[in-house]
Amino acid sequence: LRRILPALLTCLLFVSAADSARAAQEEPRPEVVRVGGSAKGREARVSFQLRNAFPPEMIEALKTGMEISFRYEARVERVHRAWFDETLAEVQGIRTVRYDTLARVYRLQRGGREDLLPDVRSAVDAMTRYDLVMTLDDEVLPGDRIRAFGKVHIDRVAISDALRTVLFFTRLWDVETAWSRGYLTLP
Amino acid sequence: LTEPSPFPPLPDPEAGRRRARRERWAIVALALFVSFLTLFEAKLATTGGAIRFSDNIAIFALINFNVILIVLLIFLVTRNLFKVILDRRRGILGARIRARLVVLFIGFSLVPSLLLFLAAANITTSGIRAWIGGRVGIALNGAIEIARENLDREAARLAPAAREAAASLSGKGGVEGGTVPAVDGGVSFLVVPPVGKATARGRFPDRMAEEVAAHLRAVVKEGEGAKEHSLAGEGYAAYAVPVGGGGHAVAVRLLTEAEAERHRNIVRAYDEYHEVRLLDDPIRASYIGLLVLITLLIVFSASWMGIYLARQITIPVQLLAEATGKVAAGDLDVQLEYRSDDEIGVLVSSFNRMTADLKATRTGLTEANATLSETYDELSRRNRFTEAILSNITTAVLVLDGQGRVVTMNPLASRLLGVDRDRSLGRYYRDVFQPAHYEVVRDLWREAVDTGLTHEAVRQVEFSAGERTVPLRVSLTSLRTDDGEFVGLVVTLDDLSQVLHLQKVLAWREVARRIAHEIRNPLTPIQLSAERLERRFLPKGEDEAPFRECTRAILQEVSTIKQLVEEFTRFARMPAPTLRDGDLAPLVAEVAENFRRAYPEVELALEGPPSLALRFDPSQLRRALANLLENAAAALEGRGHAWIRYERLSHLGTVRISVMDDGPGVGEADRDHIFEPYFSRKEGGTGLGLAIVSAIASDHGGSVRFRPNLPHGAVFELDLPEGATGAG
Repeated sequence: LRRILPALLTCLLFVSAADSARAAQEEPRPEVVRVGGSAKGREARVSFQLRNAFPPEMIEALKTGMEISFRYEARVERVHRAWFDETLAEVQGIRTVRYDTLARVYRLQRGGREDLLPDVRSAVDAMTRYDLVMTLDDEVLPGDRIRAFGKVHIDRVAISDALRTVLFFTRLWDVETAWSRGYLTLP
Repeated sequence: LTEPSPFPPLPDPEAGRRRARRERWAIVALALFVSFLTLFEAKLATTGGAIRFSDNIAIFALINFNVILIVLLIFLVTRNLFKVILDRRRGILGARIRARLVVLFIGFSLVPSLLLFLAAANITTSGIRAWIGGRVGIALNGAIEIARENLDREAARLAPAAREAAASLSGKGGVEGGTVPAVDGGVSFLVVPPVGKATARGRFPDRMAEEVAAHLRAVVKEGEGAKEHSLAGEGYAAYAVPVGGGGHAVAVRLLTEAEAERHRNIVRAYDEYHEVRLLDDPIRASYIGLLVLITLLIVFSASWMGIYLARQITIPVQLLAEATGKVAAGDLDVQLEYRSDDEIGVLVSSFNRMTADLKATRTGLTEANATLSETYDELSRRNRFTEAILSNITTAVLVLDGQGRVVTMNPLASRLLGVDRDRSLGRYYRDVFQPAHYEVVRDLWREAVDTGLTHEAVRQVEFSAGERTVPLRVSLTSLRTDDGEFVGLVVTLDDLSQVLHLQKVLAWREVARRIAHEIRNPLTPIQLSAERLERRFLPKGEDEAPFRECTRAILQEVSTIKQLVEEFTRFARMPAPTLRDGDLAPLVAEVAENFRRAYPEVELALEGPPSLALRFDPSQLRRALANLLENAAAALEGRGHAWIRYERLSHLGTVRISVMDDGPGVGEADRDHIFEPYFSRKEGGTGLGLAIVSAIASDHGGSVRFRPNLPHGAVFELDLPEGATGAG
């Protein structure tokens, strides 16, 4: 074990260094911005935007018919000053977009319905703008501080089965954002 | 013992168990480590940050595990390779064959693997490039264009119907209130209001109406006016014409399932082609990475297999080598704990049997050796005893084997025959003996054979030893086995010098006694007659003087003869010694003192212990010593050095009194006769002094002998037995 551990640590350091170097070249990073909205009674409207999520290669892939899915998460919390924050609502969802080569439209699936979008710009816009209505576990009271969190990461890039076997260990556009937060307005 | 062993240490069973325990702990630690890595990264993913995270934890864990395993494999293989190299450099037994096997395995696996890798990588890259950049792309693009054009043409054929429907709707109050023509010729109609649900006329499959309406709404842009749209999808072709007051009238032709399937296939192939084109580099990298992984696995597996096989071979060889070394060092308790059903196992079993047999044989040999050693000791003891006997007896003994080679020769025989004993052993007696001696023995043996004497032959001969002639009694005794086989010959030589000397002395004594008796008797009448003649017939006058002179001469000669007779008488009638216990030292001192007074110019040195108990006759010994000193003084002619040394020789059981002088010594020719009576080189000597000494020595059971005193002079050694019983 004394001989193996140093070798493993050396490998880990090497992998970490290589990963850091690779990460440094991949600017800008995707991020969730403009987290905000409002809350009233047992309902909260949370909106946020995803920025830098579509690099040019991903746009090209989208145009060629590759299916791209984003999974988003949102959480609403009541902020307590001297205690743990209280989660009032959580929601997760998936948005998928795919170019229909024959129809020459973008098919966007969200919330169980499909929308057809005429161009890539509208498709990207639809994939990156989030307006969510969330039902809270508890009623929001005046004076509460309500905070919303948003996070998005790529769910999958659908490729054919043949390629999936080849690219089993290859992640395409491994996009993932950090949690972003913003305060909701109260009436 | 300090020299380093060429063998590496043998695997200890306890050490093996410890190693197994360590490996188990290492595996557990490795599993924990992989789990920790997986959980850690999963935790990082849920807590946010810019760290990438794959949604499939199992795959992620598998990747980590595989990476770790590969790293571990590389490390272990590299470590073992280095170990093989180091062992080879250190010259450890088995390292060479191990290195050779590993190199062979790596070589045999590396070359084809690399060739296969290069070929596969080339084929993969070429194939992907050919597919992406070749006619496939052109064909697929053409196919999708053709499909689109077909659908567009189909949609264009629907334009009149769509316009007619739109006109009909426009004339009847728009999409809300108008009606569309009846379905005709496989054409269906769809009325799509600006907002709200579309109205279908005809048979649409599920959701097809919604699909077409959604398609239309997606392509219609605000403010575009009365623009008509051609729509196409996998299962339909449609043509939309705006209706006055908003909305569209859409003529739709639904494609057959076969047509739709063909479109789907074209689209799927087109999409996949573009996927591959887009993912060209990752695909190639994946293929090459996979090939590299496989190649590495093959190479490392081959290396591992080589090391494993080499160990399987070298470890038992190493065990055998070390065990052989132990056996060579004398440790026959070595038993190898190696079990295998292959040839090496058979070899180890044979080795164990061999060591067991060797041990049993050695035990037997040890016991036999002990017996032999005891026998040898006994034989040596007997041999030493025989040697001691042969060395101390006064008979020269010579043993010849059946071929006439000298087997045994005692020192006396060596001395008498004048040959070197050590150089004579093993040689033929004719080569050892002087010609004269050889002839004597040969003749004696022939004579014995001729006369039929087969066991013993005796003859008295005289052997010349230097200038001396030694009388010997030669006796030949044949050695025969119980079967009568002749196996050798024993030659004994008895020195008869002493015997003859004693015989001479006895004879001389008899002669002296008779002469004394015969001469003594007439001397007294002669003396009395001479005195009477002088008293009664002494003439007066001028004859007186001659007469008196004659009588006086007679009387003087008679007196001289009387003294001579007295000496003879003393020699002839020497009394038997009266032995009694006494101290020799005072007697020697007394004799020495008398000698110093008589011969003051001779320096006499006395050497001996202050007291030396001995059984002897003091008067006879005093006379013997006086005679020896007289003899020395005569040799020194009254001036010179003399020594008396007396000592006890316990190993010989004698007391030796040595009288030495640095005079001229005794000539070689006279040495055999100096102890004979009436032998004297002195003027006026009677020749009885040394004969008397010899007689006294013999009467005491001892002996006296002469040897030269180097560089010049004489030494007389008088040996008396410690427990002398005397001749009397």
